[in-house]
Amino acid sequence: MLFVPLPSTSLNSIAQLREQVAILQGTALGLVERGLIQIVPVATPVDDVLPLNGLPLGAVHEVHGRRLAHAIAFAAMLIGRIGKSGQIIYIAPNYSFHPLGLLPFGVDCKDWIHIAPRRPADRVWAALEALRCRQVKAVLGVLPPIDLTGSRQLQLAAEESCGTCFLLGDTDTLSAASAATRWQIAPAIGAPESRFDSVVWSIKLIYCRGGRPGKWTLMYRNGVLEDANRLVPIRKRLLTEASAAERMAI
Amino acid sequence: MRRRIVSLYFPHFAIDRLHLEDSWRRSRPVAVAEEERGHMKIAAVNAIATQAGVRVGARISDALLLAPLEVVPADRALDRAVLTDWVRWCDRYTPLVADDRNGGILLDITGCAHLFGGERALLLDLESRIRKLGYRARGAIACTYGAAWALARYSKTRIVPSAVATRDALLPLPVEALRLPSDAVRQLRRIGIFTVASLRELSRDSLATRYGPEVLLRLDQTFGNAHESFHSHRDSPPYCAGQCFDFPVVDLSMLEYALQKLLRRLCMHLGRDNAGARDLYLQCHRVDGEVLRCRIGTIKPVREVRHLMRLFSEKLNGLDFGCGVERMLLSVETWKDKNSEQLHLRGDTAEQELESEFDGLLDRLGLRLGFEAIARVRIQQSLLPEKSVRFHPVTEPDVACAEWPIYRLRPLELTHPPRRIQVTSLGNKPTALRLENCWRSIVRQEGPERLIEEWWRTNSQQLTYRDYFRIEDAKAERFWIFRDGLSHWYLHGRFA
Repeated sequence: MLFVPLPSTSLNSIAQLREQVAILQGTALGLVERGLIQIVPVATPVDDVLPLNGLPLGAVHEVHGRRLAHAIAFAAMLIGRIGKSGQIIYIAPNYSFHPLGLLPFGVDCKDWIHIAPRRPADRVWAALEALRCRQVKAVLGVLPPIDLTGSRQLQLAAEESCGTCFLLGDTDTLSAASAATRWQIAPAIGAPESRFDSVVWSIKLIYCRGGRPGKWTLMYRNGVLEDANRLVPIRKRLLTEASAAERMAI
Repeated sequence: MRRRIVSLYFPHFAIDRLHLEDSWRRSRPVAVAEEERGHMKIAAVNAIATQAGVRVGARISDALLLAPLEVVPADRALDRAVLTDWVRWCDRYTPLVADDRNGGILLDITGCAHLFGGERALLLDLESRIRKLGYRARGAIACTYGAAWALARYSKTRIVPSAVATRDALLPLPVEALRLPSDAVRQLRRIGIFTVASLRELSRDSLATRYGPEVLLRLDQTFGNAHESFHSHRDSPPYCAGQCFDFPVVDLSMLEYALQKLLRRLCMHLGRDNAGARDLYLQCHRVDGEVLRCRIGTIKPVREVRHLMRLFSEKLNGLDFGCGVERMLLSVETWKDKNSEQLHLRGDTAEQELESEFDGLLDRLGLRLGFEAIARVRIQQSLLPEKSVRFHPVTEPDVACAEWPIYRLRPLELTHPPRRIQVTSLGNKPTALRLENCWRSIVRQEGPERLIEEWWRTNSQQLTYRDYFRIEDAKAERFWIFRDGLSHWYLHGRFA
């Protein structure tokens, strides 16, 4: 629990009520200024909508992607921005992804620990144990559908140890009952002159505690997520030899 | 009291084992082959093969000309395992039995010969029982390990009652009987020293300077002037602690309290020797005679009571204590050096605590999920996608991560094995791709990136190569495809 003194005024005003609820919920801006909650910036148009002007650490977030790879990439990009040093634990049913694909997102493979338990119940237990350890910076988990008690335990563990938990999934997995934010990532069409080292995503914030949902098309390049709305969708055409020669890499 | 040692020698151990595996081999020529300097040579033969003329040390190609030989490759590990079983079997004569690391067994029968009717009767009984079980063995009894070893292998005398008789029996034996290193034996033979008697006539200083201290040590050990010891297989582990209860205990919390006391005692001993435990073994003896066993293992050597207690409490929860436990025995099976932590300044202790907390987490995860389920990601020095990343298990010592050139983009999802797809191309570049029964047109592509098979891993002259392309289709899905030397296209991965 966060011990923050409530303002001692009359409770009639709706604005004051809202402020008290925000403090209790952990979505008041004053908590960030006082250093009780740490945040990580996502992107300028997204931060304007999030109540804390950034993604709060020490909480459980859900990221779904059209494919699991999109969810992993988005979560890894956010983890790459966390300043705290520590280990990153990835829990999945099998060794399914290629870690070299994470390098453009600013993640160092040295801190990555991969756990592949066979039983689904063990995956949830492993995520809980890992979150309770203070040395762990973040936990990414491809977990089976958890019930309310399980997700509440995860949330409490994350708050205690200030580690962030990202629950990853494809679009057809059920969502846990209590997560601070819920995201949906899908690939989007980019500008004709962009290269493969930049990725364009259509990001939907489906649920945010204390904030409003939203939808953006953003491009990730050089560590920054910027607005891609002004980009023109490209026409289907065959490439000419000249432009193909320009685009040759290696 | 004078020591009496029995040395057992199995002259045809591998062949006897093969005969027991398949009794038809007794009437066929069989040989055991071992690789020596690139060739396969015969290491052991059975009686039928010897009659046909096959000799130890011959090449297999020559031996096959003499007889329709069945050649079995040598399996040293299995031989060692069977010998360990024999060592345990010899427990019936004396508890001090050991493997002499040369393919034989040593028994210390000081003071137990009278139980079997004397030394001669003991030796006959031992040899006959082994023969009934299918192995040929030869034994000898002497006052020292070295003398018994030498007599069993090189002499017809079996039992030498005193030190003087030992000396007389050993003198005519060849120098190999002293267990000297092979190059020392070669050098001695070159200067004309063939028997132990002539070796003893040389001066001790010249022996030490010319052939090293081991020759002198072996000579002294064989004649009883230097000490030699063997660890018997029943050696009790040096770190163990036990607790007996006055009344049978069923309560889990009381057992945990007792276990904590035992752990504290063990960790104190370990701390004195600067060691850490890696495998611990707990036995709980119940009043009805049943013994509950549980084992825990850790990745790094540990000396902390709290860490080990957490690992044990998970296992204790699953045990059924029945009517009560009357005795608990805790022993350390594997231990390793762990330097005591230096005194740290206040800032550093927090970091150390975090590290030990993380080690505790890995141990707990490993105990429940199996240590092979936890792996670290390490980049290897290879550009090929199958070899560039390795999931390194945590139980192995850590290796360094190689640097990866950032301009070589790799997909986040790898299709393994690569899936054959249909691609239409214009010139060398792909223009459309057929995946899951629908054609997608390619709007952007980068490449080709040519990856050639690593020439140091194959013997073939023609190295296969693949031209990789990064493509994006009209629905903004990105693929990693390649074309191999036969112009077949494959899908190898998908980007985020």
